Amino acid sequence: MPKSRYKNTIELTVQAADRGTEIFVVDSGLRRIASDVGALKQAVSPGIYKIRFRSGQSQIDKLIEVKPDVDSMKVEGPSVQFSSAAPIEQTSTNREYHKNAACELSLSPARERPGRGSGLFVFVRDLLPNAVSEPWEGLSIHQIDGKFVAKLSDGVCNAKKQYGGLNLEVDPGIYRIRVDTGQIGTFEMFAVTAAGWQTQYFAMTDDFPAAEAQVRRASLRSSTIMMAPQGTGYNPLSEYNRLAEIFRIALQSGRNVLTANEMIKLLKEKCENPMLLIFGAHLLVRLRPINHPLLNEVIRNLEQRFAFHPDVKSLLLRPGAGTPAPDLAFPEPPMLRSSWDLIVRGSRRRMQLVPPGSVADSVADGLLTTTPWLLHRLDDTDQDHPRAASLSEVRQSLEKLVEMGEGKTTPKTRDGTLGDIEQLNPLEQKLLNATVLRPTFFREAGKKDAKSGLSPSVSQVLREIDAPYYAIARSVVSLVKKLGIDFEK
Amino acid sequence: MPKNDHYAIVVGISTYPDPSLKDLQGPVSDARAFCQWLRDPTGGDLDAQNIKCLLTTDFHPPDPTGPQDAHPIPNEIDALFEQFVSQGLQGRIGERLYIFVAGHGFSDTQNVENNSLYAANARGSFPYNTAITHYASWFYRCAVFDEIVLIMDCCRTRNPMHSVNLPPLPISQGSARASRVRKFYAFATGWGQETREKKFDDGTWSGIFTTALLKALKNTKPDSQGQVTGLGIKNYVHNVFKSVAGNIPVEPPDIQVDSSRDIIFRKTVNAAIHSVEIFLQTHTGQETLVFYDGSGEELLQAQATSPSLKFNFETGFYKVVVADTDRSELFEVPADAKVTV
Repeated sequence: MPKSRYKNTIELTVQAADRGTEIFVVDSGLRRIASDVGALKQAVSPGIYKIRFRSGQSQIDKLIEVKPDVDSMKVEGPSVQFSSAAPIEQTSTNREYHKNAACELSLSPARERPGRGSGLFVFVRDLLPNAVSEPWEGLSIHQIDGKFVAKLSDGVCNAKKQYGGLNLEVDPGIYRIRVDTGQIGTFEMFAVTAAGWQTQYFAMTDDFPAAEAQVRRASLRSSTIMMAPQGTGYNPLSEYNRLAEIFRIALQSGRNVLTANEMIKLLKEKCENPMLLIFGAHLLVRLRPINHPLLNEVIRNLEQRFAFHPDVKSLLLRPGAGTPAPDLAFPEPPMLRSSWDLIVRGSRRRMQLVPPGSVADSVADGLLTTTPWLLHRLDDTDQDHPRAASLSEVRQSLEKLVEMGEGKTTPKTRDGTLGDIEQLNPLEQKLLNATVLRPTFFREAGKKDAKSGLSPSVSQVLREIDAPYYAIARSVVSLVKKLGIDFEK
Repeated sequence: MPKNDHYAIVVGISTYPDPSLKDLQGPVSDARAFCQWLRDPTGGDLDAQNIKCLLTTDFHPPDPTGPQDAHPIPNEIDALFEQFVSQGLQGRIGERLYIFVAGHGFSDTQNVENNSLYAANARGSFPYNTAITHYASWFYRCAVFDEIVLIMDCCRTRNPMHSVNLPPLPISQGSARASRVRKFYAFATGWGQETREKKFDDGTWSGIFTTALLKALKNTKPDSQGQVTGLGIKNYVHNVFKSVAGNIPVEPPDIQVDSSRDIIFRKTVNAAIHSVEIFLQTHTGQETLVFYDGSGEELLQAQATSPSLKFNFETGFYKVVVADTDRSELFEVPADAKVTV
């Protein structure tokens, strides 16, 4: 940028329409000179600047002129329309007919009452007016033990307007939202319901490429969860719901859109939006240094609402939080991937955090590495899990597998017998990648012998695998078995 | 004179016959456009012999009947690197290596630095791929080149069912000179994110990232020393990326530049010039247009002899004022080619 001919500076204040909107100030040399979230103050020389407002995956640029004859200047940003599975006002994916239907259905009497005390509202929609499949296809709700609760098709389904909605009254707890895509597989995520609250689950359909044809189903990955006091229904105008969506997308894309000050403000406002606080707390865990007193306050606030919520309790396992209570355990999986990562980290120090044979233990096998939700693929075979090995057995087996990677032994998977690899579940595949398939040896046309030097230690391997200890232990046993290795020989 | 010690590897894969990966429209034309920039004396200025280019169209048509006869396959991609690896074992090869790849891609679930390009014969159950970053990392560690420019216009999604296929590179202790190697790594999107392509107004399909990057390589204004640096390119791409994407939702690219050891892409005394057309809403013939640059400095005055006039400007922000009226307009070059005042 050419140097300003003016000596004075002007205080530029930029206010975004949403508190979670990122603001960037760019000078004429295209250099970013300031950035913040929600609002920004910066002393600038007179001149022309570009202000960028970003929410979710959308952004709006605005050119401004800062004149030399003023002391300060204020710029107000427009509302940035981002994409959301929920039909929220001022979002690019809002459709009036979806919004009205969601409001109405979420307040209608529960169509089915498999339990008492909490609500679960599920709403799936398709933005394509003439989609070949119906949005409610393949989606069902199950108890955490797998017992069937309801199908979305049991609810109100409107083919013309392309939506399906189901209002349930259920016992407080954790539920599986399951999508069966047919040939690609069956996938699940988890939703927590709490006494006196309605959990609102929203998804949009998307295409999944399959071997023979495209499959169009509810996309768990881009779905969203909101919570509202029972009887109040879905509120598409809620500022907090909108902010919660911005936080959710930030968790997904790894952007920092929350400051400690903003969280303090939300607490002072007595924000009654649990999902906003949960997403916010997980964003705060990513900031360094971690503000422990503030996070403790958020956790206390949330614990007043929930007897046990894995996404709240997992925050107790954040780095530097101290030793958690000895009876803390996660037999059931959380909703968020970031919670899972904290739990896995904690299980390295205390194996019983994820009890062997629990639901949380079993989902580790088919985990998908998506964010922000913890998604897993159901195992088709419904196999019996092999016994979990002891710590010393696991270490020995991992050492042997790493040795195979060094070329000291040749596993049959290297010979092109890849059929075995196809049968591995994602966790077994990860173990194989982290050990045997590491390219740690010289393979240049046999010119040199295999040579180690970069092999991982067993601890490194354990650190790299995003699964609790018992799941790893069990999968090491099954991997060794599937590879047909007998280490005794 | 072309830069004889600059080299390039360019790969563009558009055809993926397996239903698990859709065909792409942009990679081949993107790779060609990048090659064109590489050969351009005002661009990369490479000797054509130093550019190794591998495109789907080198093998097709006819279109492959299935993944079994789709190309390029990993070995064909690896072959592009092989010569540099073999030579690199003996020591330094040249000043700069460009690696440009476009096609379907993914990232390692555990290692953010491992990014792979799916080969044309990739299938859902056999995800043949080449870890491009692994090659770049090896060249860097062994200081085979003084500068490495890596550009990957691919998705960086994480698929736990697919493992990054690390090429069988020879073990090397690395070079003491590695710490002095400069690098510019540009990924179309952040880790775990998807990248997009689109049909542009001229009817051609292209990757949004490659389009923004090529604009940056051509148009980034030189700094006060007349140098177009990696940081300048990065700033330019971030600035135009959303306007290039238009209505398509995109995550910002991930461009990694070491500002203390930046790469100089171009040295020039003249910045790129762009034409801007100014329209006068009302026109009497008596109007005078006054232009100001981004710092508020008056640039020029011009008599509005017609309701539509063309002017040339460097990249930046500007203001045009109709003198003695309250009519004025801010505009950005090159984003705003037409301005009404």
